[in-house]
Amino acid sequence: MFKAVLADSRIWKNVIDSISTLVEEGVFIADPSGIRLRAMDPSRVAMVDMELPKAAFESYDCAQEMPIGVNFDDMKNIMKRTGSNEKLELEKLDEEARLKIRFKGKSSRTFSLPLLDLGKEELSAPRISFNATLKIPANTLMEAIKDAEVVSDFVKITAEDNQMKIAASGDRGEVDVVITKESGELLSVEQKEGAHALYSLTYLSKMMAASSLSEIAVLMFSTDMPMRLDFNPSSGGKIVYYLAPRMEAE
Amino acid sequence: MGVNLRDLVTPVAVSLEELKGKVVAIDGYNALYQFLAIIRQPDGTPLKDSRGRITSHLSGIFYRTANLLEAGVKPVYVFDGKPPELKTKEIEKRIEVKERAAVEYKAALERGDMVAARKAAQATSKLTGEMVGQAKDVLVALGVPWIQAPSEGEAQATFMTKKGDAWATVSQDYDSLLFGAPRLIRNLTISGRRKLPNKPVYIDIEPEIVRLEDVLLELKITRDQLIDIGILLGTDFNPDGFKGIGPKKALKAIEEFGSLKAALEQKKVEADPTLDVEAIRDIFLNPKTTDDYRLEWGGINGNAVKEILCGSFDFSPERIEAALHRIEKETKELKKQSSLEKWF
Repeated sequence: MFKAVLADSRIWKNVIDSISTLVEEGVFIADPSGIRLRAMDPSRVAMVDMELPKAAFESYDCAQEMPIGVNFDDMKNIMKRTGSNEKLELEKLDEEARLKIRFKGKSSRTFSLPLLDLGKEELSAPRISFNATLKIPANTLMEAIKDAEVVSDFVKITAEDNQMKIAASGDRGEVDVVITKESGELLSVEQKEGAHALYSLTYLSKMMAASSLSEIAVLMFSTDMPMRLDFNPSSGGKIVYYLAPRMEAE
Repeated sequence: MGVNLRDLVTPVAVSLEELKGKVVAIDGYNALYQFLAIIRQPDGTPLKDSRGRITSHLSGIFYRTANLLEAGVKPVYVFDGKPPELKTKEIEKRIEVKERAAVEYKAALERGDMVAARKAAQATSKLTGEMVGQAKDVLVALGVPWIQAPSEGEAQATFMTKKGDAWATVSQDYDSLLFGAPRLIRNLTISGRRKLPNKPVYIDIEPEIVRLEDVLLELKITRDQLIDIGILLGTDFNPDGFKGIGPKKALKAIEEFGSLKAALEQKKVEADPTLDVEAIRDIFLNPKTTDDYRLEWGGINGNAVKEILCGSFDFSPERIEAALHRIEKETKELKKQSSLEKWF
């Protein structure tokens, strides 16, 4: 059996929002060390890689590996019902194809979610090495994405000379956002060489759902390679996204 | 011809717009057979080139795949490999049906009964390895991936859907639900106006989706029990099913006894003594599948498409070019937005 208690139910709500933004269903793997999930979006352009270790929970009990197949729309609707100052208890008995989701605050409310039999094929993470690693406030990245959305469906991200540029152009106009270390917005930058690549704004803005979990985003990429975007909640665990690039127009 | 769950499921209409950007795993043989059956002249004659070779399957695979690409859908075709041994009876039965249909077709033509001729002709459809190869060539030219399943195509397509590599399995048959497909889309490759069989009436065929989760919730059964119901009704591996048992009785038996095994033990249903229920269940629960595949949409090679369809099979270059033009924008977009596939 599997039983885990989170001190703040909103953490799980945010985790579910960060996953459901890309995928409709997936399989959590619970094992003695914690819960993880890796899933690809239906068009195979982006991937979410989530981990919540045992330490992130108030109490955690799972004797052996257990797949928990979930429809995220359904789980999201349940998690919408939680308020502040509630604990969350997740429980699955071995023989039951249901997950009990219990909110414990002023009252105790228990939802029972039917689970999906999706097997337990685990995806591996993509193998990429990154030339540039940029650490920026999630909010700054979100604003830059919103700026770019005004004029285009995709964006060019450039890292050179220790600054980050986010540029977009289309029939509706052009926009350039420059984020520098001097302004304090670029928290850190490591780069082996200059890097530039195009990414779809549709996916980028979906991935910003995880900004509710962490105020800082770590963006890694190389020229014309997939981007990796990390959110590391202070309560422990990680939400990592991978996004395949768009190719430059011929 | 697949398990008939029609009376037990409630499909929901789905539009091509809703499928934009999504990967769908199409049962390739099922689609090609549909094309062969449907794409015919009013008297039942299939499309042919100047050398008398059948081209209905090519017309179908090209125009229907083009429709999907135009809508921004990412199709992957999955073709059957070696059938399970238990399928022998079904395959023999299909051959027999075709032979009977061929006789009926000839007789109907002689009588001048075009409606009966067309109906019989549809049942004579034969798909050869050569035809499958031609269809695969068209897919390659369209930049659409195809996968060779180790055994049943529906099992492989379902494996990919369960894994999240595809959003849904596409087939006319319901068997993929028994294999555990979370979503089954029907009518996707045959949507549009279609003549009702035996009547001079046209109806619009719309794609529809059946969600396994909804089926199980509605019937209050497990997937294991759904497989048992399938076996009671008859699958490709026991085409005759159980005598005198239809959808209602099958559901009732499973509700009452919990499983087919229990119903058999209590002699509430009677099986043909040669029937190996566990072996059939095993095909649905542990089918042969492979994860050795790549899903990449490589952009379109218009010249290769024209070479095959117009050069070899006498399709009208104007019509093919018009269709290629229609899908140009979306296929370029598909090529521009890479998938993560390359980086694993």
